[in-house]
Amino acid sequence: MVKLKGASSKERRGRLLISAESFSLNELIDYLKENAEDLRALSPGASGELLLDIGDMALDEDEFGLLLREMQKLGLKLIGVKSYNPITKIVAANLGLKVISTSLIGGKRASGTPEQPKPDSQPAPKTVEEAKRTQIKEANHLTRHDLKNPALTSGTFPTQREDRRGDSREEPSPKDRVLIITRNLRSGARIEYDGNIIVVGNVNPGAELVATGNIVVLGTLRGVAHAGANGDRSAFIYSSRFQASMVKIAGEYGPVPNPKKPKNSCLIKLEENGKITLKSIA
Amino acid sequence: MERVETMGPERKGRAFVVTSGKGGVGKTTVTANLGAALASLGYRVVLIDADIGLRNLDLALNLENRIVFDLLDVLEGRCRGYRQALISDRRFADNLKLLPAPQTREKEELDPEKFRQLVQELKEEFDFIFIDSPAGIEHGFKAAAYASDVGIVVVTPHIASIRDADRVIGKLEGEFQQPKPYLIVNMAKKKLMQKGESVSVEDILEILDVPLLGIVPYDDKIAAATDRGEPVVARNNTPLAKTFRIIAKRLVDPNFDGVTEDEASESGLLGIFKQLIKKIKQVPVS
Repeated sequence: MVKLKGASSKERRGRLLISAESFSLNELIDYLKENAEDLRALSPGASGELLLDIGDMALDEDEFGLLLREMQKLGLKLIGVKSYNPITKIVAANLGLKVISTSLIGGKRASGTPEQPKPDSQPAPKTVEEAKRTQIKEANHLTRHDLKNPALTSGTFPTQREDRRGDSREEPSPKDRVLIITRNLRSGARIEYDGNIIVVGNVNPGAELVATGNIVVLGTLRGVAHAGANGDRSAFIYSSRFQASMVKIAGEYGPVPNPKKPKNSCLIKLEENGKITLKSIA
Repeated sequence: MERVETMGPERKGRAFVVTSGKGGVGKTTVTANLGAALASLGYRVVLIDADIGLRNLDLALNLENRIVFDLLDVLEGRCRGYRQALISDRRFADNLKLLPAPQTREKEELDPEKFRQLVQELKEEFDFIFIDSPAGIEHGFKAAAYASDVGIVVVTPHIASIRDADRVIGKLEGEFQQPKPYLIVNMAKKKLMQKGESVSVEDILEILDVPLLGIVPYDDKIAAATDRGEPVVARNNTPLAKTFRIIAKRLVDPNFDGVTEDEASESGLLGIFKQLIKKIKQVPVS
């Protein structure tokens, strides 16, 4: 392993793997710029081909584009990433990059953990086209178990989970999973999640949230929210300030009274008669 | 997040992309007037028309008949450096230069890397570089955004314009890793806003959540002046000229606390401006 200021590199099955887990995107690019020559020299056949271990960094398609462009300028070629961030994995796979999954369970690649050893490069996660467009930058997982199956799915949600009885570190069901987003979602952002979504920020008109579970917006909801997207009629939507013109629950949609002024503390549910109701619980 | 600077500490100028997503909101007029205002304050300003194939900025400055070389001639080496292509506006003591767009080429022919490199070079010579972006969020916009340090988003008080501005702001912050862009609300109709018949500046700011640089009132004189090729800033003592000059001063100095007549006459607007000035102060200005 060669130490390179702040990051480390090592041979991995004949390929060069750079660990840059604690870097931000900009730091990573800076690092690559500073060390481009060394990295090229270290890469197999001085081809400039390398793998990046970017840990928990969440990169959307645009940010990957930036990284790839910068690397191309430096004569480096990204052939794959190692990541435990579900979004990064999906986007990388969609871009045709090799994806090496790691899991946080029991420590990163804890040695000797029986269920840890995974094939070097896992098949690309199956995802929805739409997942590529999500721009989740600061998405955190309350539970970090959810790493084998891509958290983001597009269109079809897995309804059955792998039976893993006997495994003490069972993956939580989608019902127990939460995706937390701590920024404003602007027009054009679309987020799909097999679980619950909490947004700490505003959801602007033109943005879309789709969850198989519940949706909580601690901010103003003006975009479209779809809770219980694979048919859970008990799913709810809560928004601390509500000003949307449309909500969907389990495929049912209802024009809700579109308030001219945002309404505080709104709970939106699907009643048994199939009507969507909005109640202020302030 | 500050973008990664590739140039050394000697760089002086700042490059702004003037953009909006939606067309027809006044990007070109704002670019021309902001540039003219800064030039009349003594700063060295270059305006780049990045709207390849649909050039307009030369018309707003009445410099059309002086175009010999254009942006792509510079980037593709058909003239000796950018200086040969720059057109000097004598009304502003040659402080204001225009780099026009070609009219007979396609947007896709603009090479983002070369363009960015050119803008970096221009920073050595100019205090302010304004890139007039084409409408939309495609190649032309992307090249303009990629070459710039920070955005100036022009929005009108209409739902469609706000929606598109929101999308553009998301792109600038996400894809281009820029700090929050500045906002100019153009074509504001005060009376309609007061009556609640037009989206108010407060509403726009609530959704877009970016620092407000200024409000330009709707005025038929602006469109007429743009058609004549005379920036309203050229007529020194009109309220519109003062408005643009104050907006320009806010770009120069985030602590500048002057307000326009419009803002001063409206207690509501002044209140907003006090907030906005605070917000601008929070934005890192290099």
